Amino acid sequence: MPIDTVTIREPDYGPRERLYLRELVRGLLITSRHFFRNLFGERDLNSEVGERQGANLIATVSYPEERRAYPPGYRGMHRLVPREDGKPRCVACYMCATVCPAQCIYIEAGEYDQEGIEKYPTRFEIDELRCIVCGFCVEACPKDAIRMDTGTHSPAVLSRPLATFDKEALLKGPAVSHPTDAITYGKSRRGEPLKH
Amino acid sequence: MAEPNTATASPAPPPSTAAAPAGPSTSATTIAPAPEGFVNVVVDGKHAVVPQGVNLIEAARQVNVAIPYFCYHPKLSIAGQCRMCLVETSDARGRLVAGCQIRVKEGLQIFTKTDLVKDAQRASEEFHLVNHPVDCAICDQSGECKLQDYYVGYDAKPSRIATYKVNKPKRKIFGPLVVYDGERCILCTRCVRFMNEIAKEPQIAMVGRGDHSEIDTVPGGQLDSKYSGNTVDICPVGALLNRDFRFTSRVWYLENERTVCDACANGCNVGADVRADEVYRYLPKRNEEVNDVWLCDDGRVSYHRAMDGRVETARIGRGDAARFLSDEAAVQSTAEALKPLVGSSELAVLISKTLTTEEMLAAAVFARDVLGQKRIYSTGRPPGSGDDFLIRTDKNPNAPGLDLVAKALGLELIDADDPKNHAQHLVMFGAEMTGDLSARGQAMAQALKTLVVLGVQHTPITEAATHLLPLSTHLEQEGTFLNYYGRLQRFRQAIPQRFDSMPAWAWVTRLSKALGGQWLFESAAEAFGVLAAKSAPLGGKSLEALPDTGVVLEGLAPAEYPARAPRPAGTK
Repeated sequence: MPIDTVTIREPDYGPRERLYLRELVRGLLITSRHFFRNLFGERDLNSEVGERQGANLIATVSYPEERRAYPPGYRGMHRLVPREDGKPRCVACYMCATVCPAQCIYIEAGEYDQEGIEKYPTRFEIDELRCIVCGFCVEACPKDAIRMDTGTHSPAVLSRPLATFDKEALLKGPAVSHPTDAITYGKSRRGEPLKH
Repeated sequence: MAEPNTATASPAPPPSTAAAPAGPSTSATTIAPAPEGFVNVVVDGKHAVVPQGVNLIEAARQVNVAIPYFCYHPKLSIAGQCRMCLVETSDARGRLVAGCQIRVKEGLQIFTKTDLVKDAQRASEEFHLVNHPVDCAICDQSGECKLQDYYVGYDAKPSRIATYKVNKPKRKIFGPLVVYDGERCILCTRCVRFMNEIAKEPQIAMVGRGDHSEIDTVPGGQLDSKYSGNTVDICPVGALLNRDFRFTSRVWYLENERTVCDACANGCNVGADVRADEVYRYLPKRNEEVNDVWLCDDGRVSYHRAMDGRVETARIGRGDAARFLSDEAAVQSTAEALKPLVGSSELAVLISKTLTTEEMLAAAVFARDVLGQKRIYSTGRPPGSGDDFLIRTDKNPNAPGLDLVAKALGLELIDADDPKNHAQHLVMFGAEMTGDLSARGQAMAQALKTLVVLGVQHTPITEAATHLLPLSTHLEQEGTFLNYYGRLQRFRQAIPQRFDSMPAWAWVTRLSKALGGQWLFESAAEAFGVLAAKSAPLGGKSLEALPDTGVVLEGLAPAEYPARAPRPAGTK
């Protein structure tokens, strides 16, 4: 079978392009502009990096004192979402641990004695070093109990065990409740207390 | 997948399939008459020769056509509760019949894929889900649940139920091993029929009417039968759950490894659900000549022996002088302690009836040829309660095996409790104790000058041991058990050897090497080969050739089986 071939010819550069001088000067101008702006400009450390104006348009972001905000869909550090009463929403169903391609989630399940909800995690650990930040755990969770909306990334650590975060470390951030939660708090969906 | 061990029973294939017309044939006119006791049926166009009197579900199973069902169970009476098995037959096209209740007849055509049947299956599944809480996320059954499987297979439509679901008792403790969730229950009554018909202890019943119906224990009683765990196995949904297994693992992480229960002499076939080196539960495996598809509760939790309280590392010395050693160092030290005792009448070798036959053989040849003993002593677990079904009073899995080994090697076998046992130095293969020995227990063991113990779990005896070597359970090795009925059952290694443990034949090999002996076993098969060459009942069998369901050894089968015990066809 014949193969179609396309011959690409290099563009015909004129002497001005070949000399390269104009582009060199343009590049140096940009560098110089930033240099002088950084040298004499003032900046307001309190303003968000993305919202800087005027003299604050200094190009260098002085990380870590200054940080660029992550975009809204950014998958950051995990958190275990608390219920209104501060306990984790997690029911230890192992969906996140099952779907996790890096196998970085370890769960041990226990049983509440009295509450309308039966199962909860006695241990919930994420090894952030193994985590590949794919977000599958968030998608798999049937209870909206694990989120990656902390806006931070997993911190640098000095030894590997420190990168394994346990339930207490992960349980943070604003509490979340859903209308269907009522039944898990020992009430029927009509709002009546369960008889049993 | 929902219940791999219980409900997959199918009748034996026709004895003379060659006489029956071979190959699928849709035309009824070309079908030859079925052999005596069998009938011709056509399931979805596939021809099948099935035993007379089987129902449509079993007939369809013969040609790999699945008719879905919840309440039907091959070992129980027919209830017709769930209406999931509705199919059409050639007797009345356009009408539905229950596949579990209707029996086959000559020339019957069964249709399981017509629009009418599919609609009925979808409707049944939808009705079962009307009040089902769909709390699969926290339900232990999910992954092996018929409601889940059939929803995907026969319904797969979003819920149309806009009203509230009925609330029923949740987490009701039925008994020591069983917990009940009324909302998940589909009222198939399999559990009730099992307790009535198989366990013959009617401890649970269906109470209430309409959507108030639920399963409950009889007033003032609880589900404490020795067979209560089977109700969990046959429950098609997550209504009855095993309290021992509850919340410990999701089922899709587990691998089912065929093995044999070692809780008593019955030798029930079980599947150990394992992940890595941990066993999470036992489920019965079908063996109609040993345990049918059932398992007793004691057996069901007996896997804990391999999990809890294990002797983890070799130890030399007792009390404050105890030192933990590597296995090489422990073998050297043990061999040095045993060297002056070779041939001594002060030395006794005790072999537990809980070991595998191969371990017993290794221990016995070690006692005879390396330690120069003429007799061996038997130990084991003390006898317990039994019945006429699956539970034997002898709680050791391999007592006949020790007899077989002693006979084959020409050794005198004496109960360790025997007053003739005046030994000052003991070598114990297995740390179990019977009778008087267990009563005297630790005090007597502490008085011994040398006590070499190969033990699985910590007991008073292992505490008193001067030389303690960790022993593997039968789950961690290949081997055989000879059960109460003279059936030699082979099992394979289910989990890796835990901690520093090794099978007794591996310890014997190392000790034997250190003492200059000749017995060096590389594998259980090698030990079995040594025994098979010397033992008449084994008759030159090999471990690899033994079938999964075991063989009854010649001359060892009992004259009569207990009243309700499963047995080979044609025996009393």
